[in-house]
Amino acid sequence: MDVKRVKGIVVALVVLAVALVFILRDREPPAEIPEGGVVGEEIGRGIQSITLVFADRSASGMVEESREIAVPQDRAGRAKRVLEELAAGPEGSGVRTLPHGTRVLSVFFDDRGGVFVDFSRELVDNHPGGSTGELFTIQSVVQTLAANFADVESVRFLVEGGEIETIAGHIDATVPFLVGNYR
Amino acid sequence: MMRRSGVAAAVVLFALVVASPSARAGSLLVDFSDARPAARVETKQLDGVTYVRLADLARGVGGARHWNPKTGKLTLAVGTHRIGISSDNPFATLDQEVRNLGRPVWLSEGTFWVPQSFIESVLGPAVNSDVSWHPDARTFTFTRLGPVVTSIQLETRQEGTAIVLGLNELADFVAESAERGAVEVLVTGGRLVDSLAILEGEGLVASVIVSQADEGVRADIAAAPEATSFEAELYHDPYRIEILVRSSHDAPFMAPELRGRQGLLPEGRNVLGSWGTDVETVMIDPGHGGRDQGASGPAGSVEKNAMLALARELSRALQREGFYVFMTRSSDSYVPLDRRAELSNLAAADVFLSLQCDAWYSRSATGFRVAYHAPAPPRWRAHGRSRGAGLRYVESAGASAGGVLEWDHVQDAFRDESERLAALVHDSMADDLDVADRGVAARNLAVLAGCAMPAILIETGFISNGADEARLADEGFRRSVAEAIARGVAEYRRTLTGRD
Repeated sequence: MDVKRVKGIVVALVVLAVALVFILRDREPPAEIPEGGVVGEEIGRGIQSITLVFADRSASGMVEESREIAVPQDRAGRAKRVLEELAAGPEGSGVRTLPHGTRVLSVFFDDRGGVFVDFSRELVDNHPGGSTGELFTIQSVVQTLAANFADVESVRFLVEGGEIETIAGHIDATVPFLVGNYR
Repeated sequence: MMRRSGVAAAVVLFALVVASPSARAGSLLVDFSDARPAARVETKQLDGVTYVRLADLARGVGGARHWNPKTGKLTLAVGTHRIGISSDNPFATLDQEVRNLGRPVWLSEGTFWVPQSFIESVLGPAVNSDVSWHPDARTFTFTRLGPVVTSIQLETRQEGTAIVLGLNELADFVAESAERGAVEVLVTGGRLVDSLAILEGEGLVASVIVSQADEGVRADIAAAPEATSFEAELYHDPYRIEILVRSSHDAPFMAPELRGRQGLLPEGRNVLGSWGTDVETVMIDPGHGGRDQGASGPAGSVEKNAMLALARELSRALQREGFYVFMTRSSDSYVPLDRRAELSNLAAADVFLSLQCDAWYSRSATGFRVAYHAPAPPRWRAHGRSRGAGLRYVESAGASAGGVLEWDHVQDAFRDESERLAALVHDSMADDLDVADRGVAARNLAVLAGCAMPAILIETGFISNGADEARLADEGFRRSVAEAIARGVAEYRRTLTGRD
């Protein structure tokens, strides 16, 4: 094996190691207790009781539903799983609030109590419309996140990574939805 | 030696100066009536006929020459016209037409010379000009001819009646209405080749008479009594001017002076300060439209259509109450949300009413609701966005003390009035309509955010509910809803001005 080749491998390994350090540095350590406090009770390893907020049948209020699901350890991953359960629709008496086919692409927590939720196009494309319908979609997401993550103050909706003006033409979605306004 | 050469030079110079006028070469002038500079064109006499140098003419009219050595043909491109000549050939082509020049084109030492008649018979028409010859000044004067009004046609459309004036080229025009029912359109510098008139009109147009005036071609349009506004626009392909006459029966979209161009904004007017003296003008905003269908019902009703039908009914009801009415759309067209608010601001409307349908997954949800704007929470962004022209408008209007108001916070200043208006319209609807009452709500509604006047959004029912959908499709019910809303707005006017 010639010297040049060995040198090349060493350089590549160093670069890889540095890159790994940088990548891992931004990750939450897996064993750490989740910050912000999980409201739901931890039942066994990785299984947690979560609260989902749906609308009622007469479109006059919200109904809560509890579920026990396996959740990832990191907060963003957990929030994504919770919202995926919400998107799947109710098992009880409630009415779905996220349009059929809506996927949760990613969830991001900032350090000021803000949550950014990136939905797939179906959120807008399949929405039934109406300002009440829009309000329930927002309320159910905001309240669900607030019920499961104690420090959430506001929620921003994104679609396919971009900002949207409204979900169905009524409620201004260019600003964050404050938890206090959507109780 | 020196002296000799000096004398020789003087002789040559003398010969040049004195001899040139008597030489066969000369020149003439081509003068243009517009801003183009006059062109000096070299001439030569050949067998008693004056020939002019084509290159000089081409330069004068701004034409481009293309020489094809294979065919021996030279093409001169002037604007969209093509002139073709070839040496020793007395015929020239202008586009598809052949013109006889009387004498053959002469090619001498690589330069094309054409008989003088070429200027009048070929070049003049190619640049749409009249040509006259002034022998004393040895000058051809080109006078540009104006656009020709070639045709006139009436078209009945959904939005009104359109008068289409056909043109042979682009033209400037002015359209104005000095008195009610009469619109005068002047095609500046235009020419009329055949007389044009429509004496028996249709729709909103009673007659159109087109005549030649000194300033150009004039079209006098007599509108039907129910016509209330018009719009005039120039179009390409084919060139034409369309004058659309509208009627308030359909609810006018915008008076012509309110077409929403930035330049038409009242200079220095304070939008916030302008409101509050009276309630005269109402802007109706039929929700959704065009590619934005809105919600839809189990029987297939679509919100955008249902709301346009209701808006027309409401327009009539409000006019009966003595209001002047505008609509953000009067056809099935897409209007962005901030544009709706902007239109209302431009129209200086005193009240903004957005008409909507609610919808929900559960078909049992039913009833109407009236909403007003809940102020938006503070922004996270470091810099507020300047969405749409609403911000420009507020800026240009001077806004509130000390600067720019974020356009989507304009409505915050009207929150109390909007809440009061919402309550009065709600009460009137609750009294008159036998439908479920969902009350009054404050919501962060994008369409209301930029409105510089009391503004509400009326959810007229759940289109997703079979019974609500059927009611909204019923003309009698729509009229009841329209009348209830109109009474609510009239009541609001009474509380504000003490006037019925």
